[in-house]
Amino acid sequence: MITRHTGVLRAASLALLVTLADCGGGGGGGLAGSNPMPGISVSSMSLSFGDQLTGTTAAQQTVTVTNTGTASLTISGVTITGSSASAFADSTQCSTVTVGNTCSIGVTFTPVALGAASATLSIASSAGSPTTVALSGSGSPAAGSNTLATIVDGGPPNTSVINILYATVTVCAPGSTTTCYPVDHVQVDTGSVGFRVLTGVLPNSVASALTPVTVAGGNALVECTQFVDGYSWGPIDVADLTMGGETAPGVRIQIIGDPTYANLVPAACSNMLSAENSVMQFGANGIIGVGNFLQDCGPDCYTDGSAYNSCSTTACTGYAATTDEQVPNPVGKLASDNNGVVIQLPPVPEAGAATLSGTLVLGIGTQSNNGLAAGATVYELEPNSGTFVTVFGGQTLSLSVADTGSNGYFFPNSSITPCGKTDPFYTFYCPASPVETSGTIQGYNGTVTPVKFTVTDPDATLMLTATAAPDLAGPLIGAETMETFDWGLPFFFGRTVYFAFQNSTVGTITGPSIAF
Amino acid sequence: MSMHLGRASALLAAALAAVASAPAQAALGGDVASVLRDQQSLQATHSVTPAANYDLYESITADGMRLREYVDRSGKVFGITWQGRRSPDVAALLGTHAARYLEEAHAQRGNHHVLTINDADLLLSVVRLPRGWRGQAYLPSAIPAGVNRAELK
Repeated sequence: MITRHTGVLRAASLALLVTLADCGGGGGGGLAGSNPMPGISVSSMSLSFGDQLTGTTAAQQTVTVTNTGTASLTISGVTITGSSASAFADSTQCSTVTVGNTCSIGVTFTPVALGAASATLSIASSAGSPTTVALSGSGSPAAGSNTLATIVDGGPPNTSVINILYATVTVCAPGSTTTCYPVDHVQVDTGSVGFRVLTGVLPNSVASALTPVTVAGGNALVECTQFVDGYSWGPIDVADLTMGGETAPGVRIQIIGDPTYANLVPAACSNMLSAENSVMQFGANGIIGVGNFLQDCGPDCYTDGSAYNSCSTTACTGYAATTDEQVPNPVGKLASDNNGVVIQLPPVPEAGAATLSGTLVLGIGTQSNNGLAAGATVYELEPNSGTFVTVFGGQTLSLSVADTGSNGYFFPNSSITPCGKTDPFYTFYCPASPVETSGTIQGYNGTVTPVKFTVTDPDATLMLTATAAPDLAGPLIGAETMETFDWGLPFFFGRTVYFAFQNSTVGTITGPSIAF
Repeated sequence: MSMHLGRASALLAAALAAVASAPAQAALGGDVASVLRDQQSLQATHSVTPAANYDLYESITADGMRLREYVDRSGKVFGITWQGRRSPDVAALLGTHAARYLEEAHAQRGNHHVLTINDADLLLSVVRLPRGWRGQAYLPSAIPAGVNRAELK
């Protein structure tokens, strides 16, 4: 019975193959008696690389191609496509595979971002339609003493923000390892420099144990920090800052909103209109500015009161703070891993994420976990402004930045519909249908890369609980004046972005530079 | 004070006499006198450049902050732009529109580097760069006929 059935099935298969061959559909296996034809089979329909440290390369895996046909098989091309195609690479010497022989295609995986990565390997050959192999893997975060966990989660209680990245930084009294407090929800900002904490966040035991900075006459050094949404005013203290497992000793930090000097705000400071001297006003418990510069103000710091001030208990005057007197980039004050930072964030689906976890890595090329990834390109920044060029829509925007402290892509454009005045996403774009576009990032060292992104209507695409939104973008009014393309936090989703500090060298490029 | 002589000079001289020690006032939507008060409070070098349908008042401070105020033929400020290492006095420059800025500053909490107002009667963007500021504000309904927004640099 079994033999008979098999014979019947074989006859049926033969009939089908003959039919296909008659129709010119060719390409199947070698059928005795017909023209010689190549056939192809692969050793695996999928390759899984598992977890791999982001920026490093997994051990090569191999796809074996066998010519199962009756004529030579010509491999005309091997390509990798899909959303994470850039994370995979193939190497092959396959061109012609004779009958019954094999050929190997090597595949490597170098995750460029945290989280799952997938792509498709396509082998085009003379055996008909391309043969495909599914590729998958996952980028795992850097771990070790030079890393900090980061999160996008909507902020501290009673704040409500979108696309703001936070980390925890521990503030200690100088020289102490016990008089310390871990400050959560410290905003991670590559667009500014310096560590600042809001008054009241630190318990009194820690706040009172920090060392106030004094200048001539015993006056206090008090700073005004102006952002577009307001001013933050408070004295400079010295503290030890622990970031991940590493401690920067004796760092000048700003205590925003300290009541001692609250009624002495200079007019040149408060003219930014809105006081941001509390957690609710600021939207964070503090801010850690880890941009490309080593000080917040730099040489020729202005003295009109809108930066540093010398304050008695009754009056303040503008103070010309030297770079050594200024609030520094805290990462630059570490004993090692002090030449830059790496921001790693996973991709975010169109509907957004309720929370998003990533990693802030200290140092570039100083440890096994922070080397410049194969395939990453370095973009030299203009050394005085810390900016690069973006060409977008025919506009050359020479003051462009990659800024974790901006919550969207912001750029001049008159063709994408802005959200209405009563929309909760006022100041963002609300296009009727998704806009797929790109801007070309240019470094001052001549590197050029087009970067694709999508703008969607946040009201239509985002789930209600989203605090991380990948396609959020908004207008800048007046390209001629602004000259800026602000690649905000969505740019960092699904990327590993390196910020090399001024005067430090990454590859052959002296900072300030970025790389991705 | 350096001054390019132009059609605005007579108006300017009269206004200078009038403002004397008046406090800083609104520029955007205000009059030429308010521009001059802004310029006085800045302790900057100044120039006035006439264009076809407006006069451009420019101030550059010793520390490199540049403020440009665009004044129409009736003497009303319809646009301002600024750039430099520090911000100008935004409260004074925006005048009656400062309340709207304050409102948006509160609404856009957490985003410290970009602020945009895209109202029918007020267009504004301010960017705080790593080492500098850029800003522009103008009253779209008050732009003189024949003036291209791209001229307001």
